Amino acid sequence: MLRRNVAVLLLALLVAGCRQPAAEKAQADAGHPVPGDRLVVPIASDPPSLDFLTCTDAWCLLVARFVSDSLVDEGENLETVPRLASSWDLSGDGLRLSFHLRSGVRWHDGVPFTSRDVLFTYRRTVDPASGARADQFQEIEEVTAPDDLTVEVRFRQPTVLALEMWKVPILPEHLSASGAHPPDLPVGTGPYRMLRAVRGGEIVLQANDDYFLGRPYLDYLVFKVIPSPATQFQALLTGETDWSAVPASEWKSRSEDPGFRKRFRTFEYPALFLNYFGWNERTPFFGDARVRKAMTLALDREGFARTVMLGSAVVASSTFHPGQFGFDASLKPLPYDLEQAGRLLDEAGWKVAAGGLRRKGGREFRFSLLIFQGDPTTQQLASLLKDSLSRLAVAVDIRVLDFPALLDRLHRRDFEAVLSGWSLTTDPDPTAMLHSSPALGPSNYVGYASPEMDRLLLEGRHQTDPAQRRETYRRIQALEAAEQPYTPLFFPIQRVALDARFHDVRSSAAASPLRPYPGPLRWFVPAALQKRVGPP
Amino acid sequence: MSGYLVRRVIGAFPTLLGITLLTFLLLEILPGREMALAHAYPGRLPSVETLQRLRETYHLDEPPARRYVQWLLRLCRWDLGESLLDHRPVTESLSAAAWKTFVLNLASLTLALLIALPLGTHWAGKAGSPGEKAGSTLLYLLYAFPIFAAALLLQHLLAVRLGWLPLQGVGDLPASASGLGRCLDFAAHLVLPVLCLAYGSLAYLARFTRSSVLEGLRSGYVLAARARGVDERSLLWRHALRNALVPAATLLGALIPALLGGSVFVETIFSWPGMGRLYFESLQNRDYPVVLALTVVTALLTLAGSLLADLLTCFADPRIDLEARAHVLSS
Amino acid sequence: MSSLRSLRAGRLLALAALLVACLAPLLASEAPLVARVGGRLCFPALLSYPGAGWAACPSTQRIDWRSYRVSHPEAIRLDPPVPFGPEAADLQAALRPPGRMHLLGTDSLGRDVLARVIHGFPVALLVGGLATLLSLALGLLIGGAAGASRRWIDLQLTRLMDLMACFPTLILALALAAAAARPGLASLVAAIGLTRWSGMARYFRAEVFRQRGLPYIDAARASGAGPARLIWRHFLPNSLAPILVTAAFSVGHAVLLESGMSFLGVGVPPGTASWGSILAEAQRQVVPAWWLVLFPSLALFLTVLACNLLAEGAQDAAARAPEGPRG
Repeated sequence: MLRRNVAVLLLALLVAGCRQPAAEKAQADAGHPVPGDRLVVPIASDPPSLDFLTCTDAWCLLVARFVSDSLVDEGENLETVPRLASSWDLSGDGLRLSFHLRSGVRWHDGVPFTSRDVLFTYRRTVDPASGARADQFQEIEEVTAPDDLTVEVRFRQPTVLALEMWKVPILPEHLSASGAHPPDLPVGTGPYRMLRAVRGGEIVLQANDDYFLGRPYLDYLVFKVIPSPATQFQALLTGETDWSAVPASEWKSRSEDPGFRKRFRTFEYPALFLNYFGWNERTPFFGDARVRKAMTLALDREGFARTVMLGSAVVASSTFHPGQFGFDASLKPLPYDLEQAGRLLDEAGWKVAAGGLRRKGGREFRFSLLIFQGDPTTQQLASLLKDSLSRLAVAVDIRVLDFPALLDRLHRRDFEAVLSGWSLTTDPDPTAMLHSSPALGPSNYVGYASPEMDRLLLEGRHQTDPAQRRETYRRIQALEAAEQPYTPLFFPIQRVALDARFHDVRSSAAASPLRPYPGPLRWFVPAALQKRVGPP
Repeated sequence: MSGYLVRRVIGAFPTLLGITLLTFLLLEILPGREMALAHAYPGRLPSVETLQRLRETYHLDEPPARRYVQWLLRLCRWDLGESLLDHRPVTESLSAAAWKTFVLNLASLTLALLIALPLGTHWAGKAGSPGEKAGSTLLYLLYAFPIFAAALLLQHLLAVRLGWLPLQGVGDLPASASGLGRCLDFAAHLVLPVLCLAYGSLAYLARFTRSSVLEGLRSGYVLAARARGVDERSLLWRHALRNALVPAATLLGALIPALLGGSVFVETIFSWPGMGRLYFESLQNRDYPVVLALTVVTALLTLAGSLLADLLTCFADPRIDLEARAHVLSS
Repeated sequence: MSSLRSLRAGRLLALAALLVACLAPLLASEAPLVARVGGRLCFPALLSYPGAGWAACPSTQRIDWRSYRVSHPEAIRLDPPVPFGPEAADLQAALRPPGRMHLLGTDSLGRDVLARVIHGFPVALLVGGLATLLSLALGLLIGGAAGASRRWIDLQLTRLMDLMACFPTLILALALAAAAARPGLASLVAAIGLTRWSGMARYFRAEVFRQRGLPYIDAARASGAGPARLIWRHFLPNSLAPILVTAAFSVGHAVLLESGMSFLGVGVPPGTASWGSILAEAQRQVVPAWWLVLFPSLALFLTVLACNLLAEGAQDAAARAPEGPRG
C-alpha cells in the first residue's frame, strides 16, 4: 500500500518535472517569430471585382493592401510610413514632392518594379475613361519619372494631403495594355500573392517569399465569404475563422467571460466614420446658429449611445475624430438640456403659440427630416429626435428614402434636415464639409458659410508647422461647437476579437489591427500553437 | 376546349409584353438611378463629370422607348445584364436564389397538400361533429394569422427560447463537413421557413377541400353511387375527393403569387437567400437589372401558374366552363 | 361556424377595433383627460382631435406634460387609462418586460407598448380603409367601363386587369412605395390601393356582363339611359352586397399589407405606431423581447379576423337572400 502511494507520488513528481521544461520551452518559442499557420478572416460579401484601380468596396480594398503596395501607408499611430517609397522630400514651398523608390522590388510575375508603374497608375486614375475615382489627385499639376527609382510630383498649390493621396495601390504597367481586361488574379508587388478567388466562397493569398521587407510569417491569408454578422461571430466561436466583429449585445458578457478571454484577444477602436444631423441653412429655420445649437441640445446622444447602441459609439463633439491629429480632447460634447434648447429657440424668435407649435413671422416650426432606409439605428435616432422636439413644440416629419434617392436629394440640396454620415480619413481637414465655396466645399450640402471658418480652414490646409496647425484646428473645433453647422453624433466603436494564438499583434488608434503597415506582416503563431498547417 | 386553351396561350403573349412594359415603367419612376450606378455613399458623392459619364455608359440619356426596346431584345436572348452591385451576371444570382425559393415553395406546397387534402376530406365526412367544428374554427383562425407575426413567434419560441431549430440561414456547417451532415443541416434549416409559408395555404386548402368534398357528396353522381350500394368510405375518399381535386388544382394557380409574396417575409426573417429576399434587397439598393429580371420572372411564373391550373382543370373535367370560373377565382 | 355567429362575432370585433381607433388619443396619451391649470379645468387629451382648441389649458407656454406631471402633480385631475403617448421615449426605461407601470412592457426607446398597440388601430384602419376605398373606386371604374364598353376597349381593359393580377401584391406595393417622391402615409395608401384593384374590376365586369342581358336593362336603355347612368343606377346597386363583401376582405388584406410593409421598413414613417414596426423592432433584438412580438401580433390578428368574419358572414347571408332588380 505504501509502496503504491510512493510510486504514485514519484510518478506525479516526474510528470510535474517533465512539464516544467515544456512550459518554459513554450514561453521561449513565443518570443521567436516562426513561419507557418494562416489567418482566416470573414468578409461580408464577394468583392464585385478585384480591379484595384476602380474598386471602392471595403473587401476589395482590404485584399488590395496585401496583394499590392502603395508608395506610403499608415502606421499604428496613423502616421505616414514608407512602403514602396523608401524616402521622400517635400520642397519648402510645398509644391514639389520627390519619392525615392526602393530598388530590387519585383512584381509577382518577376518583372522589376520601376517609377514607370507609378506614372502609369497616376495616368490611368485620372483618365476619365477608366472609371476610377480621381478626386484625391486633383491638386496635382504633373507627375514625372526622371529615372527608374524616382518620381516627381508637382502640385498646383501646397496641400496637407500631399502624402495622404499616395496611399493607393500601384498597378503594373506591363500587364495593363490600354483597353485590356484586368487579369482575373491581380498581380502586385505586395507581401502576399493571389492564389485563388472562388466566387461566393473565399479568396486565398499566399505569402510572397521575395517581399522586400521579408517574407511575412503567416503562410496564407484566407478571406472567407460569410454574409451575416451573427454567423461570422459563430464561425469565430467554432474555430472556423480567426477573426470577427463582436456584436454589441455580446460584448459585455464575452469580455467578462474568462473562457472567451483565454481563447481570444479583443480590440476596441472608434471607426473613422461620423454620423451627423445636417441642417440646411437655406431654410427659414436653420440659418440661425442658436436654432442649430438648440437642436443639438435637444438630443440625448449620451443616453442613446449607452442604451440603444449598447455603448458601441463615442459621442462626437465636432467633426474631429479622437485619433486624428489636432483633436481637442478638452472640448466636450454639448449636454442634453431641453430647457436651454427652449430658451435658445425663444431667443431666436420662435415662440410658442398657445397650445400649438412654435411660430415666427407666421410660419410654423415644422420641418422634414430625411433619413435613409435599411438602418434601424438611424430610424430610432430620428424617432428620438422627433419625440424630444415635440416636447419643445417643434414638429418633425420623418421621411425614409433609400440610398440613391437620398443622395440625389443631397446632391440637389433639396432637403430641410438630413441624418447622414461621413467617412473620414486619417487627416482631419474638414474643408470639404465646411467651406462655403462649391469648389472647396463640395460636401457642404447644408450651405454653411462663415468667413472666419473659411479662413481658418485654408490656413490649416497649408500650414506645415505642426504646432501652428494644431492651434488652427483647435480654433476650428471651437467654432464648430459654437455654430453647430452640423449636429455631430457618433463615431461607431468597432469591437473585434482575434484568436489568441497570433502573437505580435498591435492595436491601432483608430483602425483595426489589420489596417496598419506593416502590422499583420509581423504576426506569427508559435510552433506549439499552430493550428492550420499545410495549404488551404 | 382546346380552342380555348390555344387562345389562352396565344393571349398570354401580349400579357407578357405588358408585364415587361409595366415593369420597365415602374423602374423608370424610381428616383436616384445615377447615384445607384455610381456606388455613391454619404461623404462620397460623385462629381458632375462622373454622373455624366455614367449616364452615357448606361445610355440613360436616350429616350425611354429606345431603352425599353433594347432591354426587351436583350431579354429575348435571355441576356439579363449584370447586377449593378457586384457586376455578376443577373442570371447567376437569379438561378442561385430561384433554386432556394423553389425548394422552399415546393416543400411548403407539398406539406400543405399532404395535410390539407386528407384533413379536409376527413372533416367533410365528419361534418357537424364537435371535433370538426373545433378543427374548422382553428383552421379559420390560422388562416387569418399574419405570416410575419407567425414567423417571428415561431422563431422566438422554437429557435430562441427552446433552441430546437436553427435561427436562420440555409446551413451552419462549413464546406468541409460530410454530405449527409450538410443535408440534415439544410433540412433542419428548412423546417421553420416551410412551416411559416405553409400554414396559411394549408388552412385555406383544407377548408376549401372540405367544402368541395361536401358539395361533391351532395351531387347527383354520388347519390346515384350511394343508391347502388357503394359504402360511405369509398364515396368519401374515392368519389367526392376526386371531384374536389379539380377545383383544388385551379387553386394552385392562384396560390403561386401568394407564396411568392409570402416568401419575401419568410426569407427576410429567416435569412433564406431566395428570390423574395433578393427582390427586396435589390429594390432597396436600386439594382435595376436584378429588380427588372425578378419582376418579370415572378410575373411569368404567376402567368404560367394560372395557365397550368387551367390546363389541369380542362384535362380533369372537360365540362367545366373556364370562363365562368375565371372571375370567381380572381377575388 | 354558423354564418350568423360569424357575422355577430365579426361585427363585435370590428366595432371594438373602430372604437379603439377613434378613441385612441383618449385611451393612451401623455396629456391628461382633465387637468386644472391656472384655476380652470381643461381637457388637453382632446387636442389631438381637430377643432378642439377650446379644450386647451390656459398658458403662455405649451405644456410639456412629461415634466409638468413631476413639477405639478396636483394639476392632473384625470389621466387616460394609459398615461403614456405612443411616441414618448424614455431611454431609462428601455426594453422593460410587462410590469406594473407599463402593462405590456416597453420597446428599445422606452416607449410604452400598450400605447403603441392602441395607436396602431387608427393607423391600420385609416390606411386599410383608405387604400380599400381607392382600390374599390378604381376597380369599379375600370371594371364598369370594361363591361359596358365596346369589344375592343373591353379587351384592352381586360388585358390590363390580367396584367395587374400577374404581379404578386407585395412585390408591386414595394415597388410603388419605393417610387414615391414624398414618402409618407399618403404614398403608402396609394401604393396599397393601386395594387389591389384588379380583383374588384374583374368581378364588376363580369357582373355588368351578366346584368346587361336582363330584360329591365333593355327597357332602361330603350328609354335613353347611357352606359354611365346604367352603371350608376342599376348595375352598382344590384351588386352592392358582393361588393361590400369584397370590400370587407380587402380591408383585412390592406391592413395586413400595411403591417407587412411597415415590418419591412417601407411602410409608415419611423416613430409612427404601427404593429408592423413594433414587430420589426422585436426582430432586431438579440435579447428576446417576447412582449414586442405577442401583443402587436394579437392586435393585427384580431383586426384581420374581424374583417374576414364580417365578410364571410355577409357573404353567406347574401347568398341566401333573393336577388332581383332594384330601383
